[in-house]
Amino acid sequence: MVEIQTLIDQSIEAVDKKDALALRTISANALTEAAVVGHRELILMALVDYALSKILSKIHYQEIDEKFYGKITDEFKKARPGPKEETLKHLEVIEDLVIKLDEKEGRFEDNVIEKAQIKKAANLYEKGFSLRRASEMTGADPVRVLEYVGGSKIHEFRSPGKNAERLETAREVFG
Amino acid sequence: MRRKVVCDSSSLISLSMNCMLPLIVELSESADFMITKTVYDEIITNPRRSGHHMMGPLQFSALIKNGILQVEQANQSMVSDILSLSNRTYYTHHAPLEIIQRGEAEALALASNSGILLVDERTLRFLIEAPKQLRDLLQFRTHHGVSMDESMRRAFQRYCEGIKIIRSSEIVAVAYEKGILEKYFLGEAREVLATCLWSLKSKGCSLSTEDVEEYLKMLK
Repeated sequence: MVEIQTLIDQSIEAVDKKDALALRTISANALTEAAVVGHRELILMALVDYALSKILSKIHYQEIDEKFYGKITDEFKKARPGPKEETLKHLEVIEDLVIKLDEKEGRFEDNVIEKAQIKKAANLYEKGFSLRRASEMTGADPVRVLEYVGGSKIHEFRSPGKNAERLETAREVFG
Repeated sequence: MRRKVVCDSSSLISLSMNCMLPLIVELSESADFMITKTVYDEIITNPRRSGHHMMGPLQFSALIKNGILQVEQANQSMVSDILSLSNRTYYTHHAPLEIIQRGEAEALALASNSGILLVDERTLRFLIEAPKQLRDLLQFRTHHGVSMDESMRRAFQRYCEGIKIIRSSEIVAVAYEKGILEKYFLGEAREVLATCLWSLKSKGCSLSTEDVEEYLKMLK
């Protein structure tokens, strides 16, 4: 089991080093843990780390004020000791900081947190959670998750030998 | 006898995004298409509120007004049972994995007693048809040991007896065989069929590449 404090420590280090790939990995680890225990703070961790990794990897974000990253690490430090409500509160502050930055600097109508929600919901769906459950956990729009999933290889994992049976059922019903 | 087809929002959304809802209108001559109140909210209320996919509510509202889609209330005690059983079937570290939500349980309750469930998303389908495979998937993807409570699974399966599952791909397949596709999509018939199946896949219908290829072989 991965502790949230460990994930926060790793996130602080990754933000300090501007390591987008490390943030992606931490986000994936947080989501895997969230899938099992369902805790909101782990979901939020997965979302903000993914969003921060996107910010760090885009060219048009390279010029943003260094103070932004300072505020992010400060909030991670405040989130670290807990209790759970405090952790959540400070992770939500980070979420707001990211949204505000994206409103100012972003190139798309959707903010980077919304993109993270869709991506992480698709990951949860891939892990075996229903589309609704995955969308509920992340706050994503299920329609957009479905579209995202359609463009991925998630459905290549198939249950065998039912196509002929399904076709026969459809013929019986609508025949 | 007319059959009852309970539609999940995933299938309706796949069909809507691909301009294929007229197929439902045509096929409603042979069967009754139903949705639960939760699905109604997912395809009409929520998109209106969020402002995304605004064409969907316009199309679905017309289908409901014209009696093509009927909104039905599922038996709530059955819904609670289904929800409780399915979300206590898979365990990690002795804690249950909550894998489905009320919407899926309502659809299942409405389709119980030999109904047809039209669902494009994968998880509910796996839960009903291949519960062991779903356990393997959960285990593989969460990197945790996942166990399955057999007594819960058996109790859950009682609600699934006689339920048959189809996807929007089967709607397209039957529409192709009945000559309905050609009324709405102009082109060489096999090419139209292939395009429709690949388009459904790309919008989220749980079809693998192998599934689409198998369909193209099965349908003459």
